[in-house]
Amino acid sequence: MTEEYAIDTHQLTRKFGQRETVRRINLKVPKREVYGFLGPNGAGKTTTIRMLLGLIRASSGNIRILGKDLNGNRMEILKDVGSLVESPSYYGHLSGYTNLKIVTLMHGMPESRINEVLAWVRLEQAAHRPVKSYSLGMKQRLGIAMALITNPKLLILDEPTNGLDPSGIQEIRELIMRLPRDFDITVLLSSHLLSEIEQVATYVGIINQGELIFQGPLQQLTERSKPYVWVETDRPREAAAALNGQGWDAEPDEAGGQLRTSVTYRKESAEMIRFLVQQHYDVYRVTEKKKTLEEIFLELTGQENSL
Amino acid sequence: MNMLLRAETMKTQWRVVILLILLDTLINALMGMEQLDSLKEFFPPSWMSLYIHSVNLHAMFFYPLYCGIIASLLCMYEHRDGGWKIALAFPGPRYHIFYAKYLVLIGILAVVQLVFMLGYLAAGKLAHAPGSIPWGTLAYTGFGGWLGILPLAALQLIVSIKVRNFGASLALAIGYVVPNIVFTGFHSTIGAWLPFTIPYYVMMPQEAIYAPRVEPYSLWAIVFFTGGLYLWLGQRFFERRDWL
Repeated sequence: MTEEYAIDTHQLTRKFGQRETVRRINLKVPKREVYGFLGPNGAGKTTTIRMLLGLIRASSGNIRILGKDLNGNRMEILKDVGSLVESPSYYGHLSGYTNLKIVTLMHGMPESRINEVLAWVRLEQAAHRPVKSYSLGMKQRLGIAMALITNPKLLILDEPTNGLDPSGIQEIRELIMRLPRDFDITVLLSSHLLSEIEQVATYVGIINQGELIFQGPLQQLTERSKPYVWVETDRPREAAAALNGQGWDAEPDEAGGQLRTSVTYRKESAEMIRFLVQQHYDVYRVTEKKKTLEEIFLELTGQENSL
Repeated sequence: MNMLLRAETMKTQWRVVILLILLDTLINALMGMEQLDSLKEFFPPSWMSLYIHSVNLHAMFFYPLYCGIIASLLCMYEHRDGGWKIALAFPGPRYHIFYAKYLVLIGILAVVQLVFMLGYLAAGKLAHAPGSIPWGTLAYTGFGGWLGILPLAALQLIVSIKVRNFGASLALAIGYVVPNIVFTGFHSTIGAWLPFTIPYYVMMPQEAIYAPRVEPYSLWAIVFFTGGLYLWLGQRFFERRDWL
């Protein structure tokens, strides 16, 4: 039976003391996709990822990776998984080349692969310098090289563009997007920035306060960005009530001195405005606004209130 | 395992290790030579008394301290920039990583012992120590001292994995090596339960007037029992640990 998911968790939970950092998560990462794992800082992303890699144990629930139960198959699974968790890991006193050599040794890979991987992340020039002299971006790229060198089927990247400059970010993005296509790799990519995910991911999971609050194709998320028409008026509450009386959808936004309606069809909005004017409401401005993904994300995570 | 050992030796900071070994050898050989001369009124000069002078500080202080320093050194770069995450991605039994580190540690400690002995022999030749070289004592105390440090090495490795800070684990090592002067005064059936005393019990020849009171059978029993126990604890600790 071929498994449809590269990662499949069931009711995965991790407690630290009394607190549940990760609460009954059912993560489904389809094969050969880039799965964006999104959530604010402290939502439980890194804890989940550490459990997937067997760095920490789950309090309850189970994890299947590449069709195998993590419990009891950790070694086989690790052979096929590359990872970069939080800040890049490296041995600062050794050169980038030696760092990669250590990884190839431990995974029984040929040394010849090192130069190839160094070229992917453009570190050939700096390969023989100690890593502690690298810039943050170079360390990050080395981290990705170390994750890729074992020829993984699943790549887990935790905040991989942290600390990179814009051109570095772009490079990493292009590399990530190439992976499923060119190398048959499934990528799990975590970030607290939606903009990061939306450009590379095809699937999205959103975690907040330890719970998975959304999971599905990115498309499904973008569909939520329905446009609204905002009408600035002198008495939004009364105006909205009047419109509701006529069977139109409208919601007042008292503080903004405006109301919001999902009626966007041209003919209908013309009629609506005419009605408002006839009822002697002052209409100052009419604008159409589309919710950005960012706003949807904030709405889902309930973070808008805390900003 | 072979691969892990090779990776481990690639990571080791050999320059520091070599410096430490040379320091131990030089200090103790020179001290032995100096005391051979300055204390000749009390201890008639001979290869044996030179050995007693040289081994005193080495067995009581340097050797157990080095065990701690080198254990921390082997873990320092793992703690510093997420090295454990690289090591733990090793697709094999996790305790192999623990044993690879342990083997490198006790390998280095064997070299420390060997180089110390060479230093002693060189010092004896230089000082024209009279009499014959006590080969039997050298063999027993050299190899025995190494065996005797194995329990401490396991314990030190656990501490170094647990304590992230190199300075803290170094301070800890110094902290229990210094009271060795007192602890080695106990009879070995009591003192040897403290693993850092064992090298002194084994390495100080009973010919010395200030030799510790040693009962060899119980001493070796304690060495093997505590050694096995600490290794087992270390393996268990390493496998069950949450790597945050």
